[in-house]
Parts: sequence; C-alpha cells; structure tokens
Amino acid sequence: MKCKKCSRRQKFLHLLKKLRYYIFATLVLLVAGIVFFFFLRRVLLESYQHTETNLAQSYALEVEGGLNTYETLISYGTHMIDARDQEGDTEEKLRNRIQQYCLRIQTVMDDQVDPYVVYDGKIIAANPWEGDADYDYTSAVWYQKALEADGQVVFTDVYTDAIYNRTVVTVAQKCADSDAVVAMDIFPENLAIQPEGTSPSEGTSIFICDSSGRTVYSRTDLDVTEEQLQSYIDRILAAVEKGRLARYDAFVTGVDGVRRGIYYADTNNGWKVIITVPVDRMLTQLTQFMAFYFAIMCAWIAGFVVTVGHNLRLDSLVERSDETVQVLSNSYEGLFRINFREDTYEIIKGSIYAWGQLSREGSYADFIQAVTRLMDRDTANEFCKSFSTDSLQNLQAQHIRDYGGDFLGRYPSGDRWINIRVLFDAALGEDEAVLCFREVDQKKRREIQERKLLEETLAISRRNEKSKLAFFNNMSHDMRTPLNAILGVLDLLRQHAGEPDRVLDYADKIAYSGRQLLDLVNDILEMSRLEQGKVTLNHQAFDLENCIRACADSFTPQARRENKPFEIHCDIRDTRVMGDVTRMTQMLNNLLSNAFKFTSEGDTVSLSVRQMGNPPAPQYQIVVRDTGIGMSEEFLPHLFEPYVRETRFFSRQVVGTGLGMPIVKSLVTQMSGQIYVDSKLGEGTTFTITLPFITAQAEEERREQKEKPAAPARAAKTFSLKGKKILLAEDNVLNMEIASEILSMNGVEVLQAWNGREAVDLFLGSAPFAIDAILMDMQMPVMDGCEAARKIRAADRPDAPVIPIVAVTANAFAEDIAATTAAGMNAHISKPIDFRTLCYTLEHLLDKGPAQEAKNL
Amino acid sequence: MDQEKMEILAAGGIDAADALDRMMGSEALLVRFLGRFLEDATYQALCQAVEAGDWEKALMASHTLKGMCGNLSMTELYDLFTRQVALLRAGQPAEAAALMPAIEAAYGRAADAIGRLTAV
Repeated sequence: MKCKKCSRRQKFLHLLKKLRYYIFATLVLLVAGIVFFFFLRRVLLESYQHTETNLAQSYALEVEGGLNTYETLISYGTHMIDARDQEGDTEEKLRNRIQQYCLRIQTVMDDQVDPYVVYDGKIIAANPWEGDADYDYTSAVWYQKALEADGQVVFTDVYTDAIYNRTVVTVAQKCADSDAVVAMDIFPENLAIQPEGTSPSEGTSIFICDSSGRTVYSRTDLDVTEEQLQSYIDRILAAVEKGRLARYDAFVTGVDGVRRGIYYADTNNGWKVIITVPVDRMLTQLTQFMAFYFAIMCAWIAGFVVTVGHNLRLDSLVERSDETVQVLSNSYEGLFRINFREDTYEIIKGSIYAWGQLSREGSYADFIQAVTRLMDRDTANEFCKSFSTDSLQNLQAQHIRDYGGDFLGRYPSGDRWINIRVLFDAALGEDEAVLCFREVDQKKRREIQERKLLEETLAISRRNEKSKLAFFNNMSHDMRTPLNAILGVLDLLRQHAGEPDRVLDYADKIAYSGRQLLDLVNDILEMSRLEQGKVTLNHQAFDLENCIRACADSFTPQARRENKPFEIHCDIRDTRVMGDVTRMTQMLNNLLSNAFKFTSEGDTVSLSVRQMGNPPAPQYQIVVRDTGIGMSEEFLPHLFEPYVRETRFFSRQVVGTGLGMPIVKSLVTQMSGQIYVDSKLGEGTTFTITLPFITAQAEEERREQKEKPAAPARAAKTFSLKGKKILLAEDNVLNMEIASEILSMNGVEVLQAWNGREAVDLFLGSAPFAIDAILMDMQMPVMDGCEAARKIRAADRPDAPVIPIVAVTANAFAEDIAATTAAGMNAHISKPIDFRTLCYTLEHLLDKGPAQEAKNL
Repeated sequence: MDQEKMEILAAGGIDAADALDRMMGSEALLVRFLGRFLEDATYQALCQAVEAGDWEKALMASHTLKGMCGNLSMTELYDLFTRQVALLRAGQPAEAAALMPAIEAAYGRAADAIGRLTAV
C-alpha cells in the first residue's frame, strides 16, 4: 500500500515535471491578467478621479459665478444707498428707491430671489412681509454676519426661512456709510448648475453643501429621504475631513449599498461640490475586458486539461510498452544496434563483459573483435564471416528477419552457451539491425545432455536389436546342431538296428543331444520370464550352508572326471536364512557350470562363501573363481546382456545359450544382491556376489514381536569398546560427526582423519599398538580407503599387518567388498554404522583377531 | 521424543526411532545432525552434477548422500540414493537422472519435516 502510494507520488512528480512549462505559462498568464487588471483599474480610476474632480471644480466655479451675480446685485444696492445718502436724499425718497431696487431685482432675477433691505431699523422688501414690524431681524444670522463682515458680502448657511418655510440662503452686505443692510434670500434649487460641454454620466450624483455640511443642492438618482441623504453626505464629508478620499480607490458605500467614488471641489464661499460615481459604472469596460480575458483563460485551461489527459493516456501507453520492452530485454544479456552501412554499433544493453570491453558507441569492427575474443578460433572465424557487414547487407537484401545461432562463450567468469541473433525490422533504419545475446547455457546443456541420453538409449536399443538378431542366428544354429545330431544318429540307428551295443550307444547320444536341446529351450524360456519380471521369489527359511554344499557337491564328480581341483570354503555363522532355495541353487549351478565350462584340465575352480555383518540382516559374499580361459576386456561389459555371446566361446565348441550369466544377474538383482566380475583373458574369471538375507531367527523374532509387542530386550552386550582408541577416516563432515559422536558416547577415543592420506599419517605418527582399530571410509578425496589400507599394511612396524581395518561404506557392492579384501582390510560394515554391528565386528577382530595374538607375542 | 515429533519426521521419510537408537537416544544430537544435513552442500552438488551430465561426480555425491541419509535413518531418501548409486554404477545415467524428481520431492519433504521439527 505504501509502495503504491510512493509510486503514485512519483508518477505525480513525473507528471509535474513534464507539464512544468504548461503550468508555468498558465501561471504567468494568470498573474499577468491580475496585474493588468489592477493596473488598468488604477489607470481608469485615476482618470475618473481626475475628470470627476475637474467636473466638480467646474461645478464649483459655476456655483461661484452664480453667487457672484447675487453679490454684484447686493453691492449695487449698498452703493446706491450710500450714494443717495450722501447726496442728501430724503428718507422718503430713499425708501422709494430701495423699494424700486427690490422690485427691479425681483424682476431681473425672474422672481427667483427675494431682496430686502434693513434701513433705519425697518425692513423694506419687494413684497412687503406680513408681520414685518414684529420680525426681529437683529437676531437673524445674516444680519449679524453682515454687521460683523462690515461692508463685505456674506452668505448664510442654508436655513429654513420663517416666512416661506423653505430652504434659503441669505446673501447680505452692510452699507459702508450707514447701518443699512441689503439682503437677498436665494433658493438653492434655482442654482442653475450645468457647466457647458459636460454632462454627468448616468448614475452620477451631484451634491452641494454649505460650510456646515448641510445639503444645499442635490441631483441624484438615489431614491432616499432627505435625512438618509443628509447622513450619507455627512459620512462623505467626515471622510473628506479625514483626508480619506484623496486616494484614487477610496470609495464610500451609499445608502443603497453601492460603492461610489467621491470627487469634490470647494467654492470660495466655503461650499463643497461633491460628485459621486458608482465604481461599477467606472469599471464597466474593465469588467467587460476581464470577462473576456477570463473566458480566454478558461478556454486555455480547458485545452490544457484535455492535452494533459491525452498526454497521460499516451504516457501510460508508452509506459506499458516500455515495460514490455524492458521485460523482453531482460531476457537478453546484451542488445546492440548495428548500422552496417556506417560500420557502427551502439550498446542498448550490455553485459558486464561488454561494458568492460566496449564504449557506448564505436566501430563495428571493434565490436566484432570484442565478441570473437569470447570464441574458439573456428567459431570466431565463422562468426566473422556470418556477421560481417557484407553478410548483414546480404541478409537484409534477402529479407531475412531473424538470423543467428549458439556458441560457447569463453567468459572470464567461465564458459557459457550464448545465443546470438541479428534481427532486422521495418521499424529500424534501413541500414540497421539489432544484435542480441542471450544466455542459453542451461537450456543448451540440457539439450546436449538430452541428446547424449537419446543417443545412448538409441545405441542401447540398436545393440539390443542387433544382439537379439545375432542371438536368433546363433540359436537357430545351436538348435540345429543337436537336432542334426539326433537325426544323423537316428539314421545310423536304422542301419544298425540289429546290433544291440551300437543301439545303446546311439540311444545315449540321442539322449545327450535331446538334453542339450531341452537345456537350451529351458534357458530361453527362463530368460524371457525373468525379463518380463514374472519370476517371484519364494521366501522360506532354509539352510544356506547346506544349500551351497549340496550344490557344490553335485559338481565334485565332474571336477574329478575332468581333473580340475575344486575347492570349497564356507565360513558362515548364521546359516539359517530366509530366501528362495531353488533360485539360490539355480544361480550357483549356473556360476559353477560356467566355471567348469570355461576351464581346461588342470585349471582350478574354487567356491568360497563368507558372512559379512550380523543378524538380523547379514550379507553373504559368494566368490566363484576359476583359472580358465577368462574373458576379453571388451566383452566384460556385455557379459550380463542377454543374447550376447563372445565369439571366442564358439571357437572352443562350447555348447550354451549365452543366457546363463544374464539369468544369474537377474536372480541376484531380484534377491537385492550384487554381482561383480573380474576377468582376464587366459588367466581366469572371478565372480563375486553379495546377497543380503534376513536370518530365520530374526524373522521368527519379528513375527513373535508382532504377536507379543512386549518382547524381551535383546541380550546385553558383554563386549565393551570403552577406552579403545579408534582411528576414523571419513571425508563427509556430517558422517564424521555422527560416527565420532556415537563412538565417543560409547567411551571410544576417536582420532579423526579427513582423507586416506591423513589416516595413513596419523597411523604412522602413533606409537605401535596405540591405535586399536581403524574405521576406513572407502570413497575419500586425496587418497581413497583401499589405497590407505594398502599403505598402512605396507608400513614397517609391528602393528601394521595386524591392526584391524574395517571398511565403512554406504555401498555393499560385491566389487567394493572384493576391493577391500584385496587391500588388506579385515572386515566391512555398511553405513549407517550400526553400533552393535561395529561392536560385534570389532569384538571378533580384537579378541580373536591376530592383533591380540601379535600383542601376546 | 514425543509422538508429535516422531510423526512429523515420519512424514518427512525419517525413521526417528531408528535414528535415536543409533544416537543412543539423544534427541538433541539427532536434531542437531538433521539440521546439519540441510546445511550440507552435497545435495546441491548432486543436482548440479546431474544437470551437467557429470556422472562421475553425481555418483560421488549420491554415494555420500546415501551414507548421510543412512546415518540419519532418512529411509525414504536412503532408498532413493541407494537405487541411484546402483544405477550409476551400472552405467545407466538416464535412469539415475530420472530419479531426480523423486529425490527432489523426498528431499523437500525431509527438509520440511526438519524445519517443522525445529519450529515445534
């Protein structure tokens, strides 16, 4: 799971790496878009600030202009009163003039103003006021302001007029020479503000407020009450006061929640002209542009995503194919691209050897040289020829796509079979090919081995076929011989029917030939039954010694008759064994008749039998030796093959089927024994047979034990190996340990020798009689057991000829045992070492053996 | 040695009772030697020799193994190696090589049993 995560993460990183330029470009575009947006916004807003402020100023000028008119009219009034006063106009006259002045102004100003004059404590107006007399003008703001200003024109803030009950602004001036004050109520809604050439855009509001912040004039789309408007204006003014609106992007949120840019200008009478423009309105174009931009951006990103998806799919396809190629190339040790027109190679994948010999690219000749260094001379020559550039061009011209073969590579690390192929493909360049090397070592070796086995089997079957054919040829001859004899003698019998002596002689001859024929037929039948595995052994208790002696005795008359000394030795302790007495007899008969058959007068025939091992399963060695004609070395391996007979046999005119030995061999094998033959032409033949038998007593005990599980334990040993020193020669570590351990546990002092040489050295290095016995493994490196035994026996020291040497081997082959005896070893025990057997054997050798005698001397 | 272990070994073709008899009844010794058997490289040498068709080496190895198996009462393997040695001695390498799958299987079973024994 974790790994999966890792690989996913890796994949993601890989993807990021691949797409870094796309991602970077997208980011740049986005950032550029944002920066551009803010830049444009600033430019736009600043330009708005500029123009709107200008607009406000032009409005302010307009307002000032309008007010100037009133100022001029007022000043005209005060000058007129002062001038008339000086000229000494009567009060009455002056009053009339003032009355006229007021009326004129009202007329001139289209009734948009209400002029009046305070003269001599009385108010003179164009339209006489109701309750004029009660009006306390002295407490009015305009009056006090005018007195304070002393000759300057003053403007009041907007206030609600007591008479008209409407918002008015009063303009007033005190006369220079008298206390008369000329004043004029003006109505703000009449301030005609419409600067030339400029018209406020939609959504734009214009406000004018007096120095106290009261709204004098408003032109707005806002649908709000006066109070709400006033509070809005108050907020704007407060912001202006604090200087918060100097920035281009300072906005005030209106009553309706719309943000607006605020622009303003002051008039010289302390009023303010305020223009508000909704931000959205100002940025309409920018918004449109940005929308356009984002549409493009979205299209770009969508395209990008599609491309990435497509790429990813392609990538995964490529990855899969890469993996496949990787897997394929893993089965090759080396892959090279060859350009045979330009004579170059390139390593795609190289073995350690290749990298040691070649650079990544180079000339094809170098490559060939490096490869041929691995080959035998003949192979190298052939390789050079087959893989020359000309040859490759030829191959390509012939449209051969796959060409190559196997060779035995002499690598520094050892020999290996290598398959080399050259592949042409349309996918490659026209002059290119791929050379691949693959180790086929195991495959090749197996192939060779299989071929060898096949050849062997074929040869064997051919030989069998041939020998069978030869056998039938021989057999027809062999059968014809006694038949011809019988027929011939029968002819003679007819001719001499009246002569009883001759008739008897002929009858004997016919009987002899008949028996011969019968033997022949019997042997053939026996062999075929054995070959078909139809013979089963009859396991019964019998006395081996009796069987052997009975069999041998049947040959004694023949031996005496043919004047051949016949010796019989039988040294067996346990004579009652389980086995097939008939087959045993048949086997011995065959061996002995064979011996007598191939010996001449005066030759010796001997039969010796000895017991090896102890109950319950001892082995018996049967040796049949003769000093007869022997067999050729070439024939020996075929001795046990049925239907083969050495031609030499015929030269002696010996009658036989050639099936005797194969039958013996079959029987021995069936009895789980082994047979070994040693023969020399002209010197004689020795057959050594070892047969394992279970003693009859052991068999009985086993049966008893089966019936009564709680059988009494085996008799206690009387002989002890305690304190004995035994030299143990064994090359296998485990076997050595086991044997040493078992011996040690029984109180034996063990001297270890790991091969025959060490055993000999240890023996020679010890004091005479210090070592009680030697256990010798047969098969050892440096020096085998037999050789070591011979060396020990040949040593010049008193214990050398007498020290018991026991062969220990896993094989109880007859030939092995014969060899141990020949090497001077006293006994043989088989692996696994059975301690009781060992004890028994050593007891036999040490107590009664010659060592004891030698010691006693 | 308890019944369970005996059975495990028996399943691996090892006659534990016989082996213990040889080891003077020392279970520790038997277990140690069985472990050592698996460490021994002779089996691998046999496989290689057979693979390479080197019958002489194969005979040596098979012979050694036969001895070891005999010592440890690995009866199943012992019987197989005995047959193999006989075949090799008789010059029948094809038949001897044909025993390899059976030997391999028996070796596997024995190794498995020994492994399980030490795990018990």
